[in-house]
Parts: sequence; structure tokens; C-alpha cells
Amino acid sequence: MTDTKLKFKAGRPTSLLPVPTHYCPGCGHGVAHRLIAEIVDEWDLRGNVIGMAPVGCAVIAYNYLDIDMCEAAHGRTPEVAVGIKRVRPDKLVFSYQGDGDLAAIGTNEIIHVANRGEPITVIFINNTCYGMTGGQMAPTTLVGQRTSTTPKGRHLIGEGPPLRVCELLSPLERVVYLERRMLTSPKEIRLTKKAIERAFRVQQQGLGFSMVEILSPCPTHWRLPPEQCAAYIEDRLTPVFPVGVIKDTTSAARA
Amino acid sequence: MMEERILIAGAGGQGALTIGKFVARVGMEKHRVTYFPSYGAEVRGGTAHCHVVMSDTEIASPVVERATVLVLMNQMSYDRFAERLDEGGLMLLNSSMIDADGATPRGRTVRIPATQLAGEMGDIRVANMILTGALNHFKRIMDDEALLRVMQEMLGKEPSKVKLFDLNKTAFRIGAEQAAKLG
Amino acid sequence: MVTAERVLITGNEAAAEGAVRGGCRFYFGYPITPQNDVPEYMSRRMPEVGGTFLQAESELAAISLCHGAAAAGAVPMTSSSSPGISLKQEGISYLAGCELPALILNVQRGGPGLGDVRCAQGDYWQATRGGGHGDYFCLVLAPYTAQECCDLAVLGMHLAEKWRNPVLLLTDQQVGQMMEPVTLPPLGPEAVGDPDWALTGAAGGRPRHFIHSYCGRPNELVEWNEKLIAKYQRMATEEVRYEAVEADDAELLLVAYGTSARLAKAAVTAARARGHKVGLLRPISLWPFPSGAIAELAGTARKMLVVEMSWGQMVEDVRLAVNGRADVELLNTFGGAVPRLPDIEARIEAMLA
Repeated sequence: MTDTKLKFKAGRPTSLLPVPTHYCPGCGHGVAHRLIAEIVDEWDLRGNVIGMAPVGCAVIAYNYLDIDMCEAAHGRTPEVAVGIKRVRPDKLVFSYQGDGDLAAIGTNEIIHVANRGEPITVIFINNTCYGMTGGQMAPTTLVGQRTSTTPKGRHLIGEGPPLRVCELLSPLERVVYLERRMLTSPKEIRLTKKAIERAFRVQQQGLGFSMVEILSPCPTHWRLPPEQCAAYIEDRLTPVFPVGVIKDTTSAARA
Repeated sequence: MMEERILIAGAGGQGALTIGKFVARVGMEKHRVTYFPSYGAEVRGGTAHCHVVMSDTEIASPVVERATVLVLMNQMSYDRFAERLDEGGLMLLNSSMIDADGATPRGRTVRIPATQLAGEMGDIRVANMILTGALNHFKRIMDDEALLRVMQEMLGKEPSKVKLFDLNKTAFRIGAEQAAKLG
Repeated sequence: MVTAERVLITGNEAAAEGAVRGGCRFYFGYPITPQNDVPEYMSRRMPEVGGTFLQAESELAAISLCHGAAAAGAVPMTSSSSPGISLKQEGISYLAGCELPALILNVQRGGPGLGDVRCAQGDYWQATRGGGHGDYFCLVLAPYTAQECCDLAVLGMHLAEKWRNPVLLLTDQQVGQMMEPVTLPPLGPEAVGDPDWALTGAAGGRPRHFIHSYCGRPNELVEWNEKLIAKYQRMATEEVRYEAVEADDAELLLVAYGTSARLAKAAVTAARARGHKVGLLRPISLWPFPSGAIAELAGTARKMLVVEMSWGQMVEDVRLAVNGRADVELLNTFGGAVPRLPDIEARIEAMLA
């Protein structure tokens, strides 16, 4: 897990406000925020980007990211993003969503936004539970995983298997770029950043819909010490949610 | 004070709503008008009917409960709406498709074999315009200039529509002539 | 599509064209009877004016698209009918909470539930009491002719922008589907919107804009509500609209809006012709309700008759306004039925006897 060759990247991106976040120790949201902030800084995007904060743990992401941002009703996040994009087609618009927001209450919205090939980017944080409301079962919860509403573990019969959103959206014609990454090591975090950059580029080139799914630790509701979360993601989550590029039709879309 | 309350009904596709819209469109140049369509749940078939109110004073309800003019294009419409004729009203029947004695104690019944006449013209779809011609003979709702202008406006002015316009114009004239024969 | 300035169009089309002429360039809708001619009209009209039409996958999506478009600085429009408006309430509450402008047309049909597609005014409470969760108000305008559908849509666009608040255009199946001649106002060259608070990307080092209704800090929501309430209080004094017909000396005052008002107005004319001192107060804004005007008339008019197509909703606002200083009666229909003129005339005679 440790990569001694990596240099510590000192300081804080300007676009990440110098305030303490409300996230639990070991949570992945702060890391994902930082990746976005780094890209905003490096690409000098601040005047050209608009983000969506979801209902869920990241509800006040606009208190941490120093860019224009908007709130949405639970699950409607990508359609609100589309409303913004239709008015400001020259801006880079992303929606930042958790698994309850995107894969449960907002399933309708994400499918139709993706199917229309709306040129927005979705950053999808998958931590296999509802964090903010107390760790209830999410559509992404693993079979057997104990949550506050599956005290004996999620049952395949009755509660179904975890919903794999990338695989669900992949067959849709105008979905151009789907990649799933995980926040488990500096190397994986770098790959996650690269995936977000690729997705942003797909949007900037007007090719269609792009999404990066990020397997992200929730030590609080997984009831694990933060340092054990990376192994948990690799051992337990990746067999169900394989990481890598799920779909990339960038060249075809460009042609 | 002028007030006409006109109810037009037929099978879906017979063009009852087009008559109503046409009459309202011409009528609005001189009077206050409302046009109120009524659709069944079905898109094709079933009955379609509409209400046109034309008045020189403010129109309260666009719904025609007692009609000064009834234009009925098929049997089902006749069975359903004939009783709405007001005292002294005019009932125009498409006698090609209505098998009824049409006797009404309240007003005058005029029978025009509109579908048959339209068929003789080569297109049964203009039966509605034949009835409109007859209606105008009795009610003088529109003058020739307004009539032709609005007809053209509604049909479209593209070259491809010229034939259609001529057909409708002729149908209107035939309807008016038939009505004139009946006095 | 619309070239002549005086046209025969439905109330629905008139509202749509009014919105366009009031500067609307973003329309998001979903099919539901009896308002389908609005999305159909906009699908052709929006491209003509360089605007955006999008048929959404749901009412929730349509109002959410409005949310985003408004946040980005537009004044968008959506339309629906009663059951669809219930679905939109989530988004309307967010629009109000985020102080975002939008024009929302409700062509009321019969309810509750799926009800039917005929005329009703059963959404009055929903419209005038916010409709969704939380403390808020929408401005509610109630046209009664196709001409007024157009004129109030133009006005609604500007009021939405002025107050950063959702504006509801509340009509009914008859006002919506009936065609009448409409004189169209000139088409404004510019879309309304583009305010300095909108999300545009924080260019040139300006402070970031964030549009939200969530208030998590202690007392933050109290202060936010106080700000909103102060706005609603200003709206309540500045945006009252009504038409008074033969009302000044009326001993019996009718109160009605929408389709009911057309019939009530005819009944007043007929009653005057018979020598009765009968008048009509027609609220044009349902929120704010013209309570002051009604209270003032309650001195002369010792009796009032509310005509509405519901089980009795607006009648409660009339009773609150007169505060016991006049007898208030209700003549109503419901379940898709429309009041009949002879019934209103008979009730007037009975009340004056």
C-alpha cells in the first residue's frame, strides 16, 4: 500500500477552501474533493466550472470547494446539472453524487441523463451505504453486509444483489466514458484523478455522457478502522465492482 | 344582439373539429368567439365534437347546452346531440350517414347528403366543408373574402396545398348551393 | 409559427406564447392531459426563438431541469396538470427555498388521485399554501380568458425574475383548452434572466456563488426563513391583483376566479339587468389574495357568494377576509362538473329575496 517513490504533494489546492470538513476520519469524500480541486487548479478551471452537491454526506461540498455550486433535491442531481448545462453549454458541469442519491432515489434521472448523452460528468461515490442518515442499506450494499437496516446482512432474496451502475449504463448508446476506480492507495488515487480528467475531457469535447464511479471508504458505517478499509475495498468490493475502464467510446464518438 | 351557439359533432376523422375551428376563426373577425373541443379517450374513431359560441357580448361559457345550430355528421352524434337544439334552431344533418326522420318540434332540420356529395367529388374528407357551405348559406357567418382567406391560412399556402384549397373551396360552394335549393 | 398579432389559440398555447414573449427561452415538460398542447407548442416554438425545449422523463425531472436552468440564470417554464403538479411540489419547494425563479402552469383537472381530465379548481389550497414542504409561498396568478393566459404569463415571467420566486399560473381545463382570439404583445428580443447571483463559473476571481436551501449552521435556517418571510410580506402588499365588476354599490358580491368567474360575471350582468345591486370581485392573484378589497366591500355587501369548482377552498379565504361582517355562501361543483349559469342566477335571486 505504501509507495516510497511517491513524493508528498505539499500544500492545499487553492480551490479547496482552508476549512475543516465535517467528514468522519478515514472518509473518502475529502480525497475525492481534493482531486477535483487539484484539477480545477491545474486546468485553471475556476471560471469555467459549475458543480452539483447532492443530498447525502457531501451535501455541503460547496463549503469546501471554492467554485460555483448548486444543491439539488435527493436524486435529481444530474437533471439539475443538465438544467445548468443547457443554459451554460460552454461551462464544465459535474454532479457529485453518492450511491443513495444516484443509484436509489435518482435511478430514473441518471438513466435518462445518460441515455440522452447529456454532456455532463458524474462523479459517483460508492461506499455501499447511506452515510449521512446512519449507515442504512444502499442499492450498492453487498450481499451479507450488515447495515442499520439489514441487521442480519443484506439478503439476496427480497433485497436483491448490489446494483452495478456502470454496468447498467454501459449499453446505452450515448454513454461515452465510464470508469470505476477506488481510493485505496496513492497509486489508485492517482488513477482516480486520471479517470476524472478523462471524463472532464470527454465533456469538454462535447462527446456525450461521462461518469467516474469511485469505491470510497466509510469506516464509520463499515465499523472498520480506517487503515483496514483499503483492504476491505480490494477484497470485498472489487469482486462485485471491478475497477477499470468499463466503457470508452471516445474515439468512435469523436469520429 | 347577435349570439350563435353552435355544436358540431361527428365520428373521429370526419372533420367536425375543423369546421368548428374554421367557423370560429372567421367569426373572430367580427365577433367575440370561443371554440371548445371535446375529445374522447380514443384518438381515432369514437365521436369528436366541439362547441363554438359567437356573440357581440362577453361569452360566459364556451359550452353549448342549447344550440342555435347543430351540425351532426353521423348517427351516433345525432342520437347523442339532437335533443340539444334550442327553440327555433337549425339542425344540419349529414343525411348520407344519419338514418333518422330528423323531425324536431323545436326548429328546422336540413338534410344534406354531404358524404355522398363529397364522394362524387372524389374525396369524402371534404364532407365537412360541404356542411360548412350549407351552414353559411343559412347563417351568413362569413363573407366570401374572409372565408377564402382563412381557408387558405388554415390549409397552408404552399404550392402543394393548391389542389387541396381548390377542393375545399368547391366543396364549400356545393354545400351552399345544395342549401340554397332547400331555401 | 405565430405571425399574425391577433390569433385564435387555446388558453394553453396563449400561456406558452405569453411566456415566450415574456422572455422565456427554456421550457421543460412532460405529457399530461389537459395541457399537452403546451409541450407540443413549445417543441416547435422554442427552436424558433433560439430557446431550449426538452421533454423530461418525469415531472420531477422537468422541475429539476427548471431548478438547474434557474440557478444558471434563466427564468424557465414548466407546465402540467393537477397530478403532475403534485409530483413537482418537491422541486417547487426547492425553488422557493433556493430563491429561484420559474413559471409553472397548472391546468387543473378533477381529483383526487387520477380523477379525470375535466374542469376543476381543487388545487386552490395546494397552490396558495405553498404546496410542498416547508414555509413558503408561490405567487399565484389565475387567468380566466385566453388573452389573460397570455398577459399573465408575460407578467409571471417578470414577477418570477423580480422576486426570485416560483410563479404559478393556475388555470383549469376549460380555460386551457378553449380557443379564443388573443392579441399578442410584442416579442421581447432578449431572454429574461442573467442576474448577477447566477452560476456562471467564478471567473475573474469573483467570490464563488452557491445556491442552496440547506442551512446546517445553528440559527442559519432561522435567519434564512426570516429573510424569505420578509420577502413574502413585501410580495403580499405589492402584488395583489383583482378585477372588480359593479362592486362598489353591490349588496351581494360574487367572488370567483377562472372558469367560475366567467359564469359569475354573466350572472352579475343578468342580475344588474333585472335591477339588482350585484357585483363581482375576481381575484387575479390568488396569492396574495385580495383580502383587503373584499374586506372593504364587506361594508356595503352584506352577502357574498363564492362560486368555485371545488368542495369549498377559496371560500375560506373570503370568510377570513370578511371576518364575520358579511354572510358568505358557497355555490360549488366538483368532480369535473362546471357551475351552470341558471343555478347561479337562481341562487342570486334566493339570496336577495
